[in-house]
Amino acid sequence: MHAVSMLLAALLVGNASAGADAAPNVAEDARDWLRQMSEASQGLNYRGTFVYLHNGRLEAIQILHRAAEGNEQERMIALTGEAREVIRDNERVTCILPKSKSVMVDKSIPRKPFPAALPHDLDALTNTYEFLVAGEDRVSGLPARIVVIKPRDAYRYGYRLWLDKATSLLLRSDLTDAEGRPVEQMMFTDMQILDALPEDDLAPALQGKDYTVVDHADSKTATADTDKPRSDWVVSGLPTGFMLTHHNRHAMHAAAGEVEHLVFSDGLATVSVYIESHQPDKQAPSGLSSMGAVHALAVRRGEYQMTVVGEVPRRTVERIEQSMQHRP
Amino acid sequence: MSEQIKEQISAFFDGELPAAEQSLLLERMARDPALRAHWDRYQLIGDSLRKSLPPHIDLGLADRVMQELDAAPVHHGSATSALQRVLKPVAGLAVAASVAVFAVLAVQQARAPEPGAVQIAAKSQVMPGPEAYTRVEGTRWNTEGGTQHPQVSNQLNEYLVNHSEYAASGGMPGMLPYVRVVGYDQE
Repeated sequence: MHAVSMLLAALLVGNASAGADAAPNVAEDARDWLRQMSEASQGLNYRGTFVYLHNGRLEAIQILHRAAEGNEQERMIALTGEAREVIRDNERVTCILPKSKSVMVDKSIPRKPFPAALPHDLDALTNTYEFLVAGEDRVSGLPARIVVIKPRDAYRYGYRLWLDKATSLLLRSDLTDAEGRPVEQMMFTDMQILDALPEDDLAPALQGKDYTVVDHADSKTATADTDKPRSDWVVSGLPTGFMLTHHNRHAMHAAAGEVEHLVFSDGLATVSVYIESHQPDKQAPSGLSSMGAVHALAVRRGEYQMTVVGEVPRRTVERIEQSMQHRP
Repeated sequence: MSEQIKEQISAFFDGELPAAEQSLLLERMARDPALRAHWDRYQLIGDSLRKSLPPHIDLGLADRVMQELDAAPVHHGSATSALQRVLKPVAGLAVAASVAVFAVLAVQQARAPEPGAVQIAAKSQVMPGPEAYTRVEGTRWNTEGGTQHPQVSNQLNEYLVNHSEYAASGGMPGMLPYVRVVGYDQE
């Protein structure tokens, strides 16, 4: 019922053939494709449906993406299970959960072009990842170029990406463990690139008067605050390539009082460390938990409770936890 | 498309397809339009029965759904349970669980006698009592050495939601962090 159709129109971003054939450096070639993927995913109008496979479960999700007048809007709707929605624009992220009749609004953090404006550039990424173009394939009827990102150690996951040859849009993605086995997979079963997408299509489908709205958009939560707050914590011995990218304090519901939040990234993988005061009368997370590719490690450190969360292997959250030293 | 593949899709919807075969099915789906159409039909049945069809899809499909119900079952038992699966009330995705907590919080605070209590939900200055968490029915976190207390899982969920925006802004391009937010349905 979904015709797989590609309407290649005036909106093609970048030069899709750049680096396709004659490039002498395979890694550069692969990274060109990734740069184009980043531009395409942010700059095109498209509507698609993809399947998402994780932990032996399959979900179908519809995505609509609109790029107009400098504003990027994205809407994702779960087609399986509860009709959950996430709508994101340059200002805010809105999560709609019909079953609990709730709407959560949070401030969005501006997306940066790939690679994110980290202190290191794309070349630095090659210290921790190997970039390869691994041939061609077809995904949902479309010719695709396969780009493989192999981690150079076991502190991060790898990626196998199928990019549409015409537009560089991501058609399929496998997140792989150190042995190359898929941990999470997503794949478009339908993708249409459009000249334009009506703004109304990005409006939420479900909005009842009886919905509870929790609006964080104006609160301190999720600010991309780069001013270093006062901190009693010193970081040393991070896994190779990981650097501090955000450091702030914000209020969270689950914690009493402020939570100190440090974000570490190696350019592709991101890990958050949340530190709060230990509450003797409260049951705190403890030990290692996982959800698909995401690992979380919670430990009590004296007067503090620390939780390390990220889409990284177990050893990475363990190592980052160990690298946090309290120096009041 | 062989009966065997149809049975695989059916088993997939029942959550009974072994992990090794799931990957294989995905591979086949990438290549076979008929298989994708078959998947779509399963999807359609579930969506229409839950009355949660996206607005742009043709809504006049009761007949087609009935035809599917008559014609589709590859082996009847599993098709039925697939339908039961989609009809089964969903507890809400794991990440959603934390949002549900927000919702419950907000509702409870709204009922609270003291004025200005609603602010608590937004500012998080006061630790909510454990009763605020009772509506959440488990999560998808796998914890070593057993299950986390729901309240504890909710805390992990809240961290994950917060973390996702950072992961989306600074890491792998594309939509993967939000796939996790939308995609983590619950048992």
